[in-house]
Amino acid sequence: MVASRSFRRGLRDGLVLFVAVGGFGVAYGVLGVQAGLAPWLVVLASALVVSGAAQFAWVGLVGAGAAPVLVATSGLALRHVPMSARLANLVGPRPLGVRLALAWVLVDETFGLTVAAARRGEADLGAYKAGADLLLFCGWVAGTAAGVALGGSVDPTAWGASVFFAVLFVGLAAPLVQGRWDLATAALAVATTFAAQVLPPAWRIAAAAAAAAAVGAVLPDD
Amino acid sequence: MAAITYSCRVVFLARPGRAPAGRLARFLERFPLALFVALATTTLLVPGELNDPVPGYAALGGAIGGGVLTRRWLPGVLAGGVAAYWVARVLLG
Repeated sequence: MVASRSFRRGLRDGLVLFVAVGGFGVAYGVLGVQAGLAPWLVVLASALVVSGAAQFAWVGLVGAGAAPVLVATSGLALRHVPMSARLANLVGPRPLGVRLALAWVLVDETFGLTVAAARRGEADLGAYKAGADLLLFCGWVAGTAAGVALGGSVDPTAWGASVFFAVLFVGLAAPLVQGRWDLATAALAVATTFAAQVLPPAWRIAAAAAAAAAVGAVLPDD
Repeated sequence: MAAITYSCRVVFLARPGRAPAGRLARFLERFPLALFVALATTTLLVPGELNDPVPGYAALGGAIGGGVLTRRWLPGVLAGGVAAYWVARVLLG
């Protein structure tokens, strides 16, 4: 009963992700087809990888060969390691199948919702995340399919798709700022992101976030 | 690509051990906020990411304003950011 209520709350909160991530999926689908990838492969990647950042990097590097794509994917995926540790801590003991499924859609957006839900005292975080994951996954794959169908008839950069996605991350960060030291961590993350511009693009986000969190770890609680 | 991404996602979930403690626990506590700020900063504030940075700044301002007005409600933040972005684009022609 508790699990089903948490699942429904996850669905409710995931609705906004369905729309936002779906829109971004359209942009990815369009760019994938425009890059010359097979439409089925573009959609299959969305279902298997479920990582906007990695998939956009793939589309951007499609002509450069396998090695740059794998290096970029590794750099981008590294940020999921601390997310995995945090999520394992949040959801507690679960059957192996459930944990493997939760890892499948361990993405920034539903991870952010789950962390915020934990702070609100959500009863069953595994069920909550599963509900949010389901809508995000459907939005991402359906959006990709729609983008593939639209093909070359639209220009996603003209609608400012990247800006909308960045605003989504502002929205995910907002509930995590609970006091002045969280604010200090956020300010540090801005600074480390600028400093990380000297690194190769694929490593910037993970390095900036890890550096800010490392300094944030020695800051006191509010 | 799928294998690399999934490996990083499943590493702690496949075989959960003891709950992290001390500095590691605090690092993991702060990591999500740092990550989301870094992701937003990369697009909205870092020079060269957008052809015209002003709508990006407007989107950030609108998102913060929307968050303040709606008590950090995610749809409110999104609506504020998107509205400010389009207003800035229209005003800038």
